[in-house]
Amino acid sequence: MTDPLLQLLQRTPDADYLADQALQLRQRRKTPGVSSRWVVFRYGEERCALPLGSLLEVVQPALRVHTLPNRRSPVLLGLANLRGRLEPCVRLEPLLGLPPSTTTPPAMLVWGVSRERFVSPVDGVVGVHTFVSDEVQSYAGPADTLVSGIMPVGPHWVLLLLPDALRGRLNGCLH
Amino acid sequence: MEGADDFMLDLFRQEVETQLQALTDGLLTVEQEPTPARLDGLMRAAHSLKGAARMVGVEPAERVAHAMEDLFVSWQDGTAGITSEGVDALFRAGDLIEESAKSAGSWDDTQLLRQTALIEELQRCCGLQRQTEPTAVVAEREMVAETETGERTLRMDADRLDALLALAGEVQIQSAWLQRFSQTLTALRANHARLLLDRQATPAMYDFGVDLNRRLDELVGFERRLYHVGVRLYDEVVASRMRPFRDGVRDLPRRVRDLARSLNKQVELQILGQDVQVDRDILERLDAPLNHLIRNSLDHGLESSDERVRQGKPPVGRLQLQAYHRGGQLHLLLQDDGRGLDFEQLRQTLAERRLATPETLPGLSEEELTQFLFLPGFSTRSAVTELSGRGVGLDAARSTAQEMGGQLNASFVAGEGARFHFSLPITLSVLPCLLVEVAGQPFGLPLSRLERVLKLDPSEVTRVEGRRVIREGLIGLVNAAELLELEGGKADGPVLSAVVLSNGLSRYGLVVDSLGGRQSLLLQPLDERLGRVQHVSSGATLEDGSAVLVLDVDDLFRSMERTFEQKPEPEVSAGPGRRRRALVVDDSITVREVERHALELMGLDVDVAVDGVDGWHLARTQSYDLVVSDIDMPRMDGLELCRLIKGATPWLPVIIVSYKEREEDRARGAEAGADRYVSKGNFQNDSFRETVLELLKRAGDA
Repeated sequence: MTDPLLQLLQRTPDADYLADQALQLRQRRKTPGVSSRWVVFRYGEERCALPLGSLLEVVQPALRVHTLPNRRSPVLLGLANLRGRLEPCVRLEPLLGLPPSTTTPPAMLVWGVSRERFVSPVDGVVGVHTFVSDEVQSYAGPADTLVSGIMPVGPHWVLLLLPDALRGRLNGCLH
Repeated sequence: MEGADDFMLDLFRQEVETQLQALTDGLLTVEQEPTPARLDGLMRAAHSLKGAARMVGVEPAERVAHAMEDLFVSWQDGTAGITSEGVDALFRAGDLIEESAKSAGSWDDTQLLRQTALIEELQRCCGLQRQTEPTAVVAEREMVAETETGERTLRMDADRLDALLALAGEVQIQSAWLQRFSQTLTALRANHARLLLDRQATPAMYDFGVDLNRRLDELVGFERRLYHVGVRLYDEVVASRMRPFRDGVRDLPRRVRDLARSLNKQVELQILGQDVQVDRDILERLDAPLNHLIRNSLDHGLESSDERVRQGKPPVGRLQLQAYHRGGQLHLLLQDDGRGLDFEQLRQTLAERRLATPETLPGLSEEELTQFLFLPGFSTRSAVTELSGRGVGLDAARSTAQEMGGQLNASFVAGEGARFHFSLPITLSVLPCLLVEVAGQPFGLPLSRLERVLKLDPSEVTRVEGRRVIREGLIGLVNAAELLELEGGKADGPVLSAVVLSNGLSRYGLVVDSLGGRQSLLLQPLDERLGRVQHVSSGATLEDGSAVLVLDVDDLFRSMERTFEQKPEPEVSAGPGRRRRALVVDDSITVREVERHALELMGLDVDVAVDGVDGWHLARTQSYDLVVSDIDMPRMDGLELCRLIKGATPWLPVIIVSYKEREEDRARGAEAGADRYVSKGNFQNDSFRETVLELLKRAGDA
């Protein structure tokens, strides 16, 4: 069991978490498709998810971020000390067309593709969900190149993010 | 190349590296001592290269290795003599194979042409007779002996090592937290003990207290052990960044040999202290400056054998490179027993190039004269040879040393030799810094680059041209938060905290929110994805777990200069469209620069002249609003200059600035027609500025 998963399991689950899981178990029996596990997090009332495989760690409380001189950017917040390494801290909301968060983020996701890591503040981590490919619906909103589809979880729609595409876009914002 | 996958090619590369090192070691000494064992070793190396090339299907490399092997065979059986040409060809053959290994085995046309020519040359050498006199001798004592002892080494990804270093630092941070935590528990324990006494505890409560105490003692003991493990882990990881000096100078014997041959000189290279541990980054960055100095020694320093014999020196020149640790620093000493430096000739060159006046030259000591060699682009030899003097000079070597927080010095004894001395920090990964806060965030400034730290009372700061400057010395102040474009955070109170940075010629003060303490920071490069971050050289972490950025002083300095060069509304205006011009005449570069800086701050354009004759020439041909002159100068003094100016243009104000403060000196100045006489002793206060403003105003009103 991976560390981030362990951390998540140790949290008190949301009220609707069990219900969601039960619903998915029922749905899975009906529709045999390819299932994959995603970590769901939120910005205000909006929900997004990254494949669990791209998640490296959930950091709570959020790390202090050191701003970079002469670099004002809505995406690149600065550098954060993640166990002795200074990692770029990036906001995902502007790329996804979501309104910027106004509150101090309570948590940060550390995620990455191959050896490139990012630290991204989020308004909260909802949990790990299993989605079945057949049920993922297509998405045609803003930033659709960064989103593989949407998926209903309870009363919410979750944007399923493409980590590789995100990485490409973010790296363009780091310079 | 077909047939070989990446894995095989990787093996081939490693094989080539190993065998070429054996080949180089053997070839360097085979001319002097062609022992059967040595020839055998060379044979084996060539043979292994051939086999490896065949395995991965790099056919051109295989053919070259085959020809090398043939030559070694004919050396072994005596059908061919060991010649310098042969050794040369073998070295070049090794180079070609190395290239092919790097380019994944695929050869371009020029490489194939070189290969054909080389094979022919190697074959030709197989038929040659032994030469009696080698043209170059490189005896290299320690290298062979020490590599034979063999050391256990491990190849490691540099990124992984950096990651380890970061983790080791983190262990220290975490154990520091535990230390604070156990201290709070100890305080609680004291309270608990008091409680037990006050409330007349029951035996059970008392026993519980004893148990708690015992557990807490265990925790404190554990915390101490963890702390020491953390410190040792950190030290060990830092030490693993160190490499023996040997690793950085492996190629030197070969390079010296090739160079000596091309210059037709004989030299014996001796490398001492090969086991001295050197930071791997320092080792890498020393390569270029060391090479340059060695080229210098071979090209300019060491004489030809004939010349040496005529001077009663041994025919073979000596070049010694020594590494050692002393006083917490790494020292590198490069010495040769060549011709040293002809100081008379240097004086002449300096006079010819007008870098110093003929009057001052005889007074300059040899040490002072040596400093001129470090001027950018200065070379003592008029002819630019292929080897040295191509713009990359001593100045570049010195600035590399300075960039690493060290220094390079040189000393020469005419006819006896030269000595170059690097003193460098032991490691680049730890940098002593001053912590400052800008916009509420921590930044580090390298201590070695700071001139001083100031707390400035508002009365010590004045405004010139709308910009803040320190009254004393007119040092321009730049706000760090503005320069770095950071928001938030503010200095508390009216007192300004400033750090004075200097580049030798001028100084600026960087205003920060607050000054912190000194701290040695463990540096880590910034994430490559960020590209170059302006004003930042590297990052680090602090004990409280926050990130800190180390500022790039040279970068800061450039920006501060630019800020001051943008001349907004000049304090002194000559009306629309024209700026006022001043001429500064002084033979001291420092005084000239200080005066120029002060006048430019007032919004004037400034020309400079180095003596009276120079000044008079400018005053006659250009139009000025003000002249500022020294008295004592070579060729024509300031009083004479003043008389000439007042004779030709009586309305042009002249200010004399002099060290001479006596009444009769002032009288002589007035006699010569000077409008004002300012003592250099009073220059640093506002009186110079006020005098200038007053004279310009008077001239404007007239």
